[in-house]
Amino acid sequence: MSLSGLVDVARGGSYLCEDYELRITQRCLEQDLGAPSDDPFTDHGDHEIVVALINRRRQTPVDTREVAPLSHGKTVYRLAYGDRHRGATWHDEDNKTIWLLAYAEHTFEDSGDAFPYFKELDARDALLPTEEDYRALFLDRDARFAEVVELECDSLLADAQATPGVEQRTRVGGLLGIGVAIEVVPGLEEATLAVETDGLTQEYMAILFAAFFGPSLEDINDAHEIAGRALGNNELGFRGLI
Amino acid sequence: MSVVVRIPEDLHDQVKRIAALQGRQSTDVLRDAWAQYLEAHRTDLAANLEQAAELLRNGDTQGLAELASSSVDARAAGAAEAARS
Repeated sequence: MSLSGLVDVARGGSYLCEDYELRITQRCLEQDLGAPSDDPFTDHGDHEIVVALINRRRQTPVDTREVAPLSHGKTVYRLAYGDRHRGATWHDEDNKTIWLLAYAEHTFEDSGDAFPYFKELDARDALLPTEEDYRALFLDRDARFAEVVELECDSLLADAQATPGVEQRTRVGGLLGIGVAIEVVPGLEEATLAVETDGLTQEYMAILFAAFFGPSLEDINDAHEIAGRALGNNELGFRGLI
Repeated sequence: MSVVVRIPEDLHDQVKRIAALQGRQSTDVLRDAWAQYLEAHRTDLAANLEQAAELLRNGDTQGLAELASSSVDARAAGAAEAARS
């Protein structure tokens, strides 16, 4: 499922791909690219290594060569643009993000300045994303979620009401997988909501509940199946009148 | 439909051990953990739900974003720590 139709576009500090986002760490932006860390992603799009990041990593998170060994044991791939431009990228699967961790100009393959520099950053724990990097990532995601949640939930609910007993699914804000099914009894409609726990926060859950069921938690009950199927391993189920 | 759950390996191992001790499936242990979490935080969830409903009624996207981000510092700290584990 795409990021709510937002694919191959830059939003905030991210470039959105089908299954993950591309981001640049704040240290890399400030120290390696000489750019303000709070600029939107689009402002860096002309830089050679960012062109390579978009062109290569939006297709696949892996590459043929690694920056190794590293102290944290992460698999960090080399990213190249032409003869001189070298980067280091890490696929942060837990957070569905590929980070450009570092960039340097490189004089000669395997003996230039880039890779010793990347390892030096790793040695002083300056390579991986920091708390501030994650804070910026989550703030961007939360803003995207807030922008679309009402529209997407309304649309999903309308689809489910048009096809009672059939589960309708979406990924709200490109982040959170949910399914909704409606059961109709004379005069009443009950909605069942399945929410994937991957990426779920208590606040997202509260917003989803409000969008589907209204303001009272007392009106929402647990559900163990939706539209005749058992919930998946990573799903929570809820039901309530709408 | 079966959905593959992706959780950190160390947590997965702990869940498997707990499930084995209890003679249950890992998925049931995880779901119970979520249910217990939600029950323990029911007051917070109810307050957030009321706030979210009002923000939606008013079309307050900025307010919704702020609500969504109210735990951002803790999430960021956890993610940074996990990246280094």
